[in-house]
Amino acid sequence: MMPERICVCVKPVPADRGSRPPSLSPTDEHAIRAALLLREDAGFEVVVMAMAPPAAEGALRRSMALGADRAVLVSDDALGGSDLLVTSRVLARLVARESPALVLFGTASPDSGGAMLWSSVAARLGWPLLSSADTVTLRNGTAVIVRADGRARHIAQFRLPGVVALSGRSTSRPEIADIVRSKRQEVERVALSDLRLSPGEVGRAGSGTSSRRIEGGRAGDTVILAGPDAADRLFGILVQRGALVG
Amino acid sequence: MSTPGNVGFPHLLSPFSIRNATMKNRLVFQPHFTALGGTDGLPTDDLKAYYIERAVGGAGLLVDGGMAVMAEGMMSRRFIRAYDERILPKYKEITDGVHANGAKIFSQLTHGGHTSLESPPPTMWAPTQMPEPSSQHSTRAMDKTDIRRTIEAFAASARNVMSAGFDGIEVKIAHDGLLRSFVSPFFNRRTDEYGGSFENRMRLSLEVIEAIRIAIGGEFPIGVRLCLDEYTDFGYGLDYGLRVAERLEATGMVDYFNSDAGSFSSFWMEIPPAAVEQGFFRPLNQELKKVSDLPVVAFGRIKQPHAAERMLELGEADLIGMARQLIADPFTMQKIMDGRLDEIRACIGCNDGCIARVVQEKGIRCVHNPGAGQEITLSERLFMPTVRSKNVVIVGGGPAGMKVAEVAAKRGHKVTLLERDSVLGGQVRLAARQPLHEEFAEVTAYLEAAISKADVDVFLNVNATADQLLTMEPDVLVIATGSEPNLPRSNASADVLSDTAVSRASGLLAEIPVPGLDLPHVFSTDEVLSGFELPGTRVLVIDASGHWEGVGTAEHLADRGFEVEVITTRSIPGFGLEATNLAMFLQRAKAKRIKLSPFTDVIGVDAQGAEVVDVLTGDNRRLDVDFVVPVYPRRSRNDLYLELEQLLDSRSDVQLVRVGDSSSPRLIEGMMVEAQKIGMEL
Repeated sequence: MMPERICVCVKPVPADRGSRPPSLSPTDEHAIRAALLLREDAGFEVVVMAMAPPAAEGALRRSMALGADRAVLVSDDALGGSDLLVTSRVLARLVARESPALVLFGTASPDSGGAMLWSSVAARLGWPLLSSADTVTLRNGTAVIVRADGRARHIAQFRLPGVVALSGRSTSRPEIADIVRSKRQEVERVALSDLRLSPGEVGRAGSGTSSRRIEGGRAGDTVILAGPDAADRLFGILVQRGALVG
Repeated sequence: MSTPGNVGFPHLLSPFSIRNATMKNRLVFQPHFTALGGTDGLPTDDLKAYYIERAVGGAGLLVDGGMAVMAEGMMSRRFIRAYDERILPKYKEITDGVHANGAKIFSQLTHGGHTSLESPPPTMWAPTQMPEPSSQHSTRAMDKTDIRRTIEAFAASARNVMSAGFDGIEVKIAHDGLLRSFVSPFFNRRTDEYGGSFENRMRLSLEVIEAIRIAIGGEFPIGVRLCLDEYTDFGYGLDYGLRVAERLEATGMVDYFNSDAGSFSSFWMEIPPAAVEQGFFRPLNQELKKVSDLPVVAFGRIKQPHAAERMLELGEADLIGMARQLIADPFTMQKIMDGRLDEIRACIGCNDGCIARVVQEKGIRCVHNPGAGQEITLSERLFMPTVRSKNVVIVGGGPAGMKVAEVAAKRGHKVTLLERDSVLGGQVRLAARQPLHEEFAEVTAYLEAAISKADVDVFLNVNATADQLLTMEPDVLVIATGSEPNLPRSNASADVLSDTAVSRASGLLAEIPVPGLDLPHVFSTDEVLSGFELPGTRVLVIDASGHWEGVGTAEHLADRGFEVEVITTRSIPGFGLEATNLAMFLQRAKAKRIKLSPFTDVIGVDAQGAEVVDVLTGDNRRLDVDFVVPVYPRRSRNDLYLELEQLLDSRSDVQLVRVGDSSSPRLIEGMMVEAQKIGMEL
């Protein structure tokens, strides 16, 4: 009998400018698209899930407009500051509630790029994992992935259930019908207690590691200025970009 | 009071006193001509609403500009007659309204002197008979009676306005008007006691200030708006400007300086457009602070709260002057206090809504604040919560669609915005790619932040048909699908032209009657600015639209290394640009070797270039170029609207509206007003 459900774990992050709310990244959208293709073949239910602040709800709604059947958000103030191990524990519990045949991740979120979360989730679930997959197909209770590195194609498989981390980015084109449907749906909210977790087990309190600081920052534009008024012009540019703070 | 939102601005938010006037913070709404006065020289309800809006918005001090001390000093019919008692009732309402909202208001008094906005001007007064070099009209050399009357007029006007409840007087010795022309060695060639020496050139200003001080008494502040540098080859520079400041300070009768620069002959420095970097005038403020112990108001394209705070912290100024920033967003200070910096609508330095209009004696506006100068009908304080929340579906995420979305969502409608592209912004994104126009993107940055805060559901990469849109069961369908270059073919994709296929076939759009526009080496401005690979090295730009779409694209091409020639049938390419922008474009075009060919029409485009004609002589010439960029007025993308109109013909349950360029292609200001009105009426 064919499996019935695919979970896609996403990490909504703020877009690059200003205070705009978190949105789906192209890697997340790519994973959602892969899940939808599998659904076309065999009629799975596609569930998008995230651990994120409440503001991420819009991004999850959008995942339904892209065609996902359901969206689940675990959000709690106590989750702030969660490290990789805590995050993977929360996501593993969230996944386990759905008993999916397959869990998909995009390979990197655009903000931190740790690129390890899926392996930790797979380990907690005790499920097999294949990462850096270019494609994934399902056949007779088996997931088959293809990974191409430019020189060779590597084909690998595991028996379901399991976890696949997909490389690649895509931008989806929502259909009006899906937008209409998504507006009738609610994002399901899951509380920590629903996952049998206490506030002390998560967030800063439950994390063994913490972020000290971020140095450098995003790569910016290069501006080369010369001449006697270079300093003034540089000031103008810094002011213009909002870089002069206190 | 300090909240987490405002801890970053301790200097900007601290109070400041000048004589008996105590301002609650350091933000000054700079004096400027609004043209909101009546042609009878009296203040209007529009002017009252304009100032009260800025007081409500949190500025500490407003300085009311454009007030003339005598009939012979009216720089425009719409200047306020500061000398006329008939102004008092309305001004009492204005000063009461400003005070009720915690702000102070000073009156800036001036005499238009050798400068006028009227054409032809009335008789203009000057120290020496000569036209201001930017004008062809000469002046009347003032006699002793004129001088005596002028001094009396300043005093009488000061007494008059103070009786209306103003908190102080600012004397204009600035970029226009009579007093600077007396101070300036170039304009003042007199050999009597009002000219010939520095002290004599200062005499009129000093006598005016003394007369005002006697008229209003010792407790009220008197400041001077002072031009520190005339920025002309013939005029005075900073050293002289500082000497003037020192002499004024030595009288003991001046309480503050509001710094300033430029003249009618360098008007791009009076009201510097976006091509002048922010912070450009800082050195002037710094030098003034070095020589003077008086409080200084900093000026000149200051719009960023952090920059303003930093300038105060460094001691470069005591107060921060903003004019255009508060025209664009009257509530800038309130947003700073609330920690809502991301909600500030920034001035983009375009000068199209404010300066371009007031120099034509038309009421002041702002291209992306439709409420500016129209507070009575369009202030954002009038966004009334809706009684019935409607399902509003907007097609098109350019500025018009986003503006309707912002206003409708803020009023409580459920708004869904569909955009075909992968990003919002429409043509503004392309415009911002032109040289020195990065700040234009702040129009859409504001709107993006606003619609996301207002919970507009935005879907990108959506191509919706008319039938599909109706499945969304909208109460209101807003079509904001924009416009496209009016060319017979597209290098981008055949799809683009299908947006207008029905409109063109139905005779709703006219084609440009120039042969050869369908050739493959013809590129549209949209294609050029989108980064299309372009052939060869030489390009012809045909400027039939007169604004930045033509000459800004030409400059973009020059910056990309092309040899550019711009032709126009009119007297200058960029003929529709606001004057400061045009003046600075012409300076850059010269430096960048962009060839500008006025009075030139195109006969036809061919494989080697184009055949053009001098419209004055009728002589033809060939232009051999590698590609051609024709810039004609754009055409609306209207097919979706037409289809919906047909589908909804017999239905009254769906309101169908078109807005922005899809209604009529135009500059951003007009469509922003249209979009805001639609949003307010839904």
